[in-house]
Amino acid sequence: MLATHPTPDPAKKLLLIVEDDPDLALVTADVLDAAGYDTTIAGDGLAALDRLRGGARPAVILLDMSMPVLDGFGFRAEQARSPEFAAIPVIAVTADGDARRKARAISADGYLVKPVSIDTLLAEVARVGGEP
Amino acid sequence: VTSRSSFPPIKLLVVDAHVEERRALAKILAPIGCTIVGASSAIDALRHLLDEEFALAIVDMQIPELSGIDLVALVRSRERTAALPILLMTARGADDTQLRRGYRAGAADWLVKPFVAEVVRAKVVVFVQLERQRRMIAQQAERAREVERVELALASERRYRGLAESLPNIIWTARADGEIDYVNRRWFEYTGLDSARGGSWADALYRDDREAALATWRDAVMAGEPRDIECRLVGADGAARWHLCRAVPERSAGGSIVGWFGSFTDIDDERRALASLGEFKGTLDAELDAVMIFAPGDGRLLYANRGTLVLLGYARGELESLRASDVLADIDAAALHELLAPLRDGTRTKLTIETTFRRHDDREIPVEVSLQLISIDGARLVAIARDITDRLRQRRERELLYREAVDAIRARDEFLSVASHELRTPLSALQLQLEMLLHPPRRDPNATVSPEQLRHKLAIAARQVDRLARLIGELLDVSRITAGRLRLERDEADLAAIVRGVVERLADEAERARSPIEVRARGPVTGVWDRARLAQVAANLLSNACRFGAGKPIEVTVEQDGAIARLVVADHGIGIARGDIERIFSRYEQAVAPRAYGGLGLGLYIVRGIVEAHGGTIRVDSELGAGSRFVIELPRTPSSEDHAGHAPDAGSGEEASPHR
Repeated sequence: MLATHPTPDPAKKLLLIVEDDPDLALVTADVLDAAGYDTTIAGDGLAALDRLRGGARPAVILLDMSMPVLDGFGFRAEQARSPEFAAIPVIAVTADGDARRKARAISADGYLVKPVSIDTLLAEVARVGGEP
Repeated sequence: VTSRSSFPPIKLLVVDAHVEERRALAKILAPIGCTIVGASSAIDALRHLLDEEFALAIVDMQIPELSGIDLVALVRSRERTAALPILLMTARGADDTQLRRGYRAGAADWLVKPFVAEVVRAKVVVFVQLERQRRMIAQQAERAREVERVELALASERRYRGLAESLPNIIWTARADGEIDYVNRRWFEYTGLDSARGGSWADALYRDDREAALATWRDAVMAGEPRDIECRLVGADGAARWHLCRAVPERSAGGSIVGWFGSFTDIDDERRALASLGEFKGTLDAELDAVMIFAPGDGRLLYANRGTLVLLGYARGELESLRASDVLADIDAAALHELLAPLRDGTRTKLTIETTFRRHDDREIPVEVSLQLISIDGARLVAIARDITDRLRQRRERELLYREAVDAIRARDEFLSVASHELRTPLSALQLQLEMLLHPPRRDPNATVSPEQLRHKLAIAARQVDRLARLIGELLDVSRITAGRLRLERDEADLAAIVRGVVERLADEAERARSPIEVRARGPVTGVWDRARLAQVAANLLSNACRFGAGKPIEVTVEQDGAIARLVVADHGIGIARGDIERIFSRYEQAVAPRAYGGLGLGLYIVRGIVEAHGGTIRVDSELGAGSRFVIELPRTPSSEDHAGHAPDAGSGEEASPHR
């Protein structure tokens, strides 16, 4: 699936999907790609930081809160310490009913509750990061 | 001359050998009005003198046995008759010598024969008068004494009555037969009874005590002995107070009972005090608490109840030299002094502290001590101590229970969070995938999906359904195990074959984990088990071994040990910290940080549930970094106590045995 996006299209808005479940990460990317965004996937918080340090500047970061190695909270803390990408808006993606509180706790710009429908996903991404 | 009828007649003794002479003299003396007693000899005279009282003896000089003068001397010499006046009689012409002898012997005078009646009477009358006066004087003296006696008696009676009336005690007297004839004022004051209105004194006896009191009183009267009777007297206010009734017989000089004297003394307060003292002491001794009274200055122990002995393990005699500081393990004399300051200055009346007592055997026990300064002939420190070992233990248990409850709630919330994540993640993927197939996003309206792409998308969707089904299955298993409703479908099964099947199924997973699985089984290991459930157990353990095996080989051993089948799954991975081994089998627990390895963390809980339902055991030997070794032992045939009882073919165990 990643093969369908061998190079970032500079005309498209880049979205960073941070999700440890590969199936969900891929299908989310599929949906967003289809909607006209460019996407890249990181399997945990640490991989996401690597991607940012490597120069990726996504319009929005879709951040799963519950991940191994470095979870959403840990990622936000690290992100906040880097002036280069501290300002990148983040949509917190969680599975529990406390999503709003969790999102506020990490000062996220938006939040999504699993399971996510395509409309909700696209609306929230557009609201936070703009139309593709 | 008058005689008073109240006096006995005055007697005169005439001693003369000749009856004519005696008669003659009696005739002469008759007008005097005395009784004349005649005696014919000295012996006869003496006999009369010993028996009777005479005012005068008239003795002839010539009498048989003794001369008149000798008789006079004899009479004088006797105490009883020494004062008796005697007239001697003699014939005319008696010489002076004889008269002088007579006077010397004690005669008062002489009568000379033949008598001149007037002279004789004149001389005799003097002595009769003298006797009359003597008698008068004696009578007056007796009268005076009598008056004095009466006066004295009256005074004593008045004093006695006055005393009786003024006494705070009830005083009574009774006749010899027991009839009460006097009660003092206090009686009427106390009982409110009216002397004028009458009624029995027994009415004042409290009903319950009346019969016994009266019986004792009757018994006292009958026996003539003093008695003490304790009974309640009903007062004017209707309240019954205990009295000690003391009845003492009064005896005459002759010893016979002439009456009774008695009193009622109010002993209600004493009795109550005794009762409450007894109760108090009883309470103190019955009290498990240690009650100690110390001298506040030097901390000397002045009193200790039985509870103290028990609490501190001392014998009664050993407490005497004890001081507060000997008992207090953590508080020395100076600290105690400081501690008591609020009691001394009155800002506090009571202090309650938790501290430690040192027992006689040096063992220390936690106690709660309440301290009070009270005044019992001087200031005293009263300490009431209670062993709070149990309370502290209960408190610790409560705290532990609370912590456990909090932990359980936290674990449950964490679990719910994890479960929610675990369930919603595949659900989310499934939803997006299906929506993409049904309603692709607007930017790609004409995009077509090749059959190959479709199959791929559906395969992903199917995988989400599998994951969801497996998660839901786990949740249901946990629910069944927790409720004790895990049903086993027991059948003849070969554990080695079951394990080989599972290993085959997990080949892909093992390959991904780069942990080759080696099965060590010499032959079939049969038993009557739920085949699917044991497969679940093996899959769970092996799946864990792959996840936590750090890419190192995994060994599975199946062996038979008599009636026991043993399954051992050993990896060489991250291992489990000693402190976490307990937790891994409980619900919702993963020893490792949540989410690091995924899963609900229910696996081992379910494994243990299944093993235990089979009547088996599971244990783990592990060290952090040195891998884990899970050992499961299963009885090969179900015992009646197992959950296997639920199995429809529980009886097949017996049939299965010969097949091993």
